[in-house]
Amino acid sequence: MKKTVYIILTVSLMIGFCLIMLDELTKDRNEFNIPSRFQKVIVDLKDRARTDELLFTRELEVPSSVEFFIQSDDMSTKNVKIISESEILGKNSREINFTIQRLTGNSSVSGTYIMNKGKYSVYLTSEKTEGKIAIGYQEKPVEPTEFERLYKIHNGDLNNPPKGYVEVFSTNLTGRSCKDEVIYTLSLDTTTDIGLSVYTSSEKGTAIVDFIGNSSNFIGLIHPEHRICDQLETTLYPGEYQFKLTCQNADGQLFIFLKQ
Amino acid sequence: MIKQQSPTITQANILFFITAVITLAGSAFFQPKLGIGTNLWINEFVYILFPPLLLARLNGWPVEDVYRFRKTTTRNKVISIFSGLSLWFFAFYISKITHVLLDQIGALENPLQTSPSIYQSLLLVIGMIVLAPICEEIFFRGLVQKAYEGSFHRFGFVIAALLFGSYHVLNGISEVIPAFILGLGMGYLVYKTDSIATSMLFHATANICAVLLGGAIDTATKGVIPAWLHAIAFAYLGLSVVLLRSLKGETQSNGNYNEVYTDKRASAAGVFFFVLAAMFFAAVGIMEILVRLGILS
Repeated sequence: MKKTVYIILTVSLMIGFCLIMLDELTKDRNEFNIPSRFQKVIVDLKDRARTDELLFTRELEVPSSVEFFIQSDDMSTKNVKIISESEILGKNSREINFTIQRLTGNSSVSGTYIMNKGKYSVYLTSEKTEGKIAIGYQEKPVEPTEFERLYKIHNGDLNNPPKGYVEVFSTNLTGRSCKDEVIYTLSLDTTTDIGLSVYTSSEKGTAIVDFIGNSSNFIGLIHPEHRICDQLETTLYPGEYQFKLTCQNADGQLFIFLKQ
Repeated sequence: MIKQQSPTITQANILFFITAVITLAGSAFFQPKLGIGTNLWINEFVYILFPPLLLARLNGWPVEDVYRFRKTTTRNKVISIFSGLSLWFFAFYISKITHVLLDQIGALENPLQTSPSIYQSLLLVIGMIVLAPICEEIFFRGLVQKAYEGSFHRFGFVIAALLFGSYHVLNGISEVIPAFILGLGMGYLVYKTDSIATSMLFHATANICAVLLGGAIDTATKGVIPAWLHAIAFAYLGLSVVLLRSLKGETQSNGNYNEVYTDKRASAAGVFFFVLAAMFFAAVGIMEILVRLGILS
């Protein structure tokens, strides 16, 4: 039996050695894993340091949803700044900032923004360092009626939920001060597909809504940098889920809509 | 003077503690750099398999006798495979229940992780179904159980199972009790048959079930424990008990080892390392609880 065990271990070792070698050889190709639907720009960071250097500019002919997917194989902190000529729905400013360190494979910094038609530009601030940063972007036109609905929400007319969503909570944030206050509890007896839409018109102070449950947490559904969370669809296991509000010196309204 | 022919409790405890600490530290260092599969291979070959083989080499022990590399009957092999299958179901069920209870304290967030490459996935699967059953059995049933059988005789396998279970706290608290239950089954097989081949077959079967069935059941039940799983789990527990009790005992070929055994009780160093290991595992468990409570990130 000793012989059998040693033979199995030796053969395993040889197979394992080959697999480890193959893995190492293909690692470089696996570093960035930007899905094929994205167009991508890869910047080599080793030639120079950059401060808000323009990488590229795009023009949106119609209101569009723009998704960014950013990865880097280098540990240093890099900042990717996106500046739009037109409004970015759910944001008080026309600027988006991504901070990224080392994120490869299936890890990334990503975000989807709905922008009105016009130009947007992408800038990079980085040290001179070994490594690269890959920026993926995908633009999809938004249905005019859908854009109109979201544009109304962006401009403060919050009671415009998507079809099938019902209001479960609304409040005026002015003068309200709280930390992690439970504002709505969702109890599920079975595994359920749900949709969440959370909107605020707050333009100052802090207004953050988190969704906390046993099996799923969504931190910062809305926050000062992003006032619209629209149609976040997910599957929840049975249990209790709470919407928690943290609010200080905020203004405007808050609406929560659910689809079950 | 009679030369010691078996591992002592002191040696087992020292190696167990060192292996546990190095596994945690090594995994923290190597896994992000080399991948989850390669890291498992390092764990199995370097930290788990190497120490007992080195100990045997240094002491001039014949591993066939000391770690019970002995043939067994086909009947015992078949029983090992089927008891591994049935007891895995019960252990899986306990793991699910523990998970649900722990999630009451707080759920562990799943950080964004790089999904393993195809090669890392293959390394992981081969590591689980080939290496772990061989390496971990040599360590826990070969070395640790043998050492404890010197003092605790028929209960040696229970202590080895306890250590095997506590070692799995490195994979999460929810794995401790299931690993202890499987450890009991594997320990009993070795105790009864005097062959490590039986526990290796049991271990391989249980790990194959974990790879093939664990994910499938999780997906099918969407994290909920369905009523049928309660019934099946206890039915399989009963079946595994029946199977294990039907084993035919082998003559312990080294039945006189107690006479040449020089360390029937753990020395102060042995007790010290046992306590150290217990504190280490408690610390790992407490860390997980603190993370679940949101106190640590």
